[in-house]
Amino acid sequence: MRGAVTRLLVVLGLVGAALVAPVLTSSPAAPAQAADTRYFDPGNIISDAVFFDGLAMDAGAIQDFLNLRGAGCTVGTDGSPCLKNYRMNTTDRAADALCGGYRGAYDETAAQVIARVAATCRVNPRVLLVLLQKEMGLVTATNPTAKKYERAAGYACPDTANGGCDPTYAGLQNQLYRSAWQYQRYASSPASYQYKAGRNNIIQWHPNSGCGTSTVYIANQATAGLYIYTPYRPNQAALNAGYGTGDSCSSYGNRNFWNYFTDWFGSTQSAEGSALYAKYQSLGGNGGALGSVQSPYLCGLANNGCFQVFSKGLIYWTPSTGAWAVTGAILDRYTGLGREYGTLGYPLSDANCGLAGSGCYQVFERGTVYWTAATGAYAVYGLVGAKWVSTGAENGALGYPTGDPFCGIKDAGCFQPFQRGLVYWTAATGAHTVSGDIATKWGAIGRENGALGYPTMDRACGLVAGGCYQIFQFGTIYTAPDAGTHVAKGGIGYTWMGKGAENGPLGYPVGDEVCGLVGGGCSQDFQRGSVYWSGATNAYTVQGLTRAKHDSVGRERGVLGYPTMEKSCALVRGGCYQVFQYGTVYESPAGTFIAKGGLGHTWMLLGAENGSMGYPTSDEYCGLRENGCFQLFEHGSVYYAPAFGAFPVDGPIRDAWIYQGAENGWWGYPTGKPQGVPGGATQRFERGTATWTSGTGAVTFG
Amino acid sequence: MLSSRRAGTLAACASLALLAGCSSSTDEASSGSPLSTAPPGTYGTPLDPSAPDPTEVATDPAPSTVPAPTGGARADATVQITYYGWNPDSSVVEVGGFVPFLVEEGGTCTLTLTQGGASATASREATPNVTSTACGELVVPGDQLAPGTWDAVLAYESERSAGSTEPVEVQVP
Repeated sequence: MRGAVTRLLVVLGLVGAALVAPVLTSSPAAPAQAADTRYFDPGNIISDAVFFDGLAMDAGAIQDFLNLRGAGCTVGTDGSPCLKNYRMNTTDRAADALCGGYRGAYDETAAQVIARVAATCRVNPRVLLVLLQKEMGLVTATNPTAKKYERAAGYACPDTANGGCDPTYAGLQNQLYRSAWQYQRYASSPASYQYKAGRNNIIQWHPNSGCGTSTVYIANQATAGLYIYTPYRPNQAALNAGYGTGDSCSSYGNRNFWNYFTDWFGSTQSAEGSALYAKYQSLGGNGGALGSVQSPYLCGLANNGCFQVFSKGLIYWTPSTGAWAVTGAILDRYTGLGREYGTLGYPLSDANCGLAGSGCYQVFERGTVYWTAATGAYAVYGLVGAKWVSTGAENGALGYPTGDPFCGIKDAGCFQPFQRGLVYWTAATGAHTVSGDIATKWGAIGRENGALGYPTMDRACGLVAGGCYQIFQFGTIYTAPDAGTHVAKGGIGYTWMGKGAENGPLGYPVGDEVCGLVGGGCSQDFQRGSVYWSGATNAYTVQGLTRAKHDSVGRERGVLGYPTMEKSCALVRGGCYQVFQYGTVYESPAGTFIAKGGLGHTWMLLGAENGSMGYPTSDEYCGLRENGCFQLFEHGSVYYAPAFGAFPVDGPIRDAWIYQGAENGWWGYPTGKPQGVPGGATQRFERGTATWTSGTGAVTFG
Repeated sequence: MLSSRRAGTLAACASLALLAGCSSSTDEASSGSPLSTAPPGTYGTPLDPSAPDPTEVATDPAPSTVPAPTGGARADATVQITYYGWNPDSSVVEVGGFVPFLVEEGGTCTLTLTQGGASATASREATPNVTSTACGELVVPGDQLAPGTWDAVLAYESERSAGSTEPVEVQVP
């Protein structure tokens, strides 16, 4: 189909070819192999992006191209080599604002010269190849001449005194370097030349001014540069003729440029290249943030994406996301995360800076990277990232990320560290922050792998006395200025909460639960009490004076063991008691003391606090003679020795007994209970019986 | 004065006796816009990489430049205006132009705007180019110009060459 169209255009073109022969005559019958010139746009012969694609081909690719297009070339009749075989010693050119200079080298090939000039002046080597062809036909020449090489790029050559070409202009390297430099000069000083991009320009059809002019809106600098270099617009007859001859007003330079470029290298337009080029220029081009070009446009990425490499970064583009630059530490992180194929996908913005702490961020398809000098660059995305954003992002309580999101932890969870806290997520628990002293505590006990599991809420504050709390899967962390930061969980935590938690009598925890206690038990201390649990006893609180007593005798390891009930306070005269495994603590106006063992049992058989003895006024005291013990009560004492058993002594008999030396006196230990008798009472001791006569108040022993 | 320039163009065509190209050489006929559809093929991928190159190609004459006069007389230089008009963004009259067929250093381009007895000028050192000498863009600030129609003439002068354009009309709002 294309061939048919081409032939049709050639036939039409012949109409104007009859009268004025061009310089290099084309045979009217020659089948010009032309691109479809209906697509020649006089205002946009080539895009800037394509024209200035300075790394489009390397020397190897150029050599291959020269070999292909110059396949029919042999050494010229004047001995000149073909371009494919051309070699020269190149000379130094100093760098300036337009080109990066050229370090001369021995025996360089034409392909090397073309590639190096293109790269250092940032002009597409394909443009230079076409320039060599359209000016002197060097690429396809079959009979190269020294004259063709002398003015290879058509750059005017001032005559020397002897009529030759000034050697600083002549030859392949000079002609290419000056031409490419000149195109950059046009671009850098558009007001110094006669055609300007972005406006209507009056352009002659032909060197003969009688052929008239046309007005062309020149769309870009590259096209302006072509017209400045070759100031004629091909007329319709020239276009209709393909590569052939139009009419007497036809010019061919810019047509042939377009034809050769299109036939050899495809379209002179590139949406991808233009997007990348425009972004690069918007960032200052060669002198801007990205530095120098280090690659051609590299396409074929996911979603029809392209990218280009620069000395200080990359630009990525896709049709749907646009072109955006990625540089510096953010680029390093983007690379670490797999670039466009990885976690983040393509960029959706440039880096935006000026955040708190001189931070920057850059948005990608599936996440955002944040950077500060202090924290480095890390990505935020997904539900963890959404949680962070909901806390105010970098301005919120958590600050900047200090690591990427990390998944695959327990229960398929994810987490991410930030400057002042963490975000943890699982499908079951959702995403929640953990920060400050609560985070420290949670970390100390193993985070999600520890006893508490994942957070199920964020920290909540406003508790009594400035307290805060956070619930985890298997417990809660409480923190308060006067109590520290501690965990409440399990049976003890449940018991504490049943008592009103921090608002109840126990107040805040002042320590964590301690397990591994005697008998497999656990305990936890709170501001105003402790909770004990063991498998045998369940969990009960110990508070107030009873707690002090329990503590003083060694807590659960001591004589009392674990509590087996809560303290009960309906005793006579406001007394309270709490039963422990091995004894009972009584709080009464007489003090707080323990009743246990044989002494306690004896006291209880006497009616305990309601009986004749009243409340205890001391704990049991042992170490008496014959391993004896005693305990004092409000109205008497109870003595015990293994050899005799436990018996109370009270009243005048006790007074007399103590007076004569108590168990160490002649009477020895009591060996029976006081017995009421008419007119008094009696009680047996080791060595006799004491008798009290109420009438006289006397106590006799015998 | 633009109309007189057109008349000159038409006269030149007439003298070239029915050349097919002449009928399309006016501004009005020059709008041979390309197809609006995107061109086939993509950059870097020609439609037929193996297609042979054309064996016969029409090319432009080798650029000829005016030889520098050796005597004391200055040669005539052809000067062309390539764009002109009022730039509303910068509120100036802009005129671009160049001297084809002449490559030389040291020339000066001068824009002269006249309106009745009033005139304003701007000058700029010309820039030698590949096969021509560019005047570049000459600018006259709008605050020097009364509203209305001004005639603009672009002149080139050097030690060896001199010439100027026919006037074109510029509207100053």
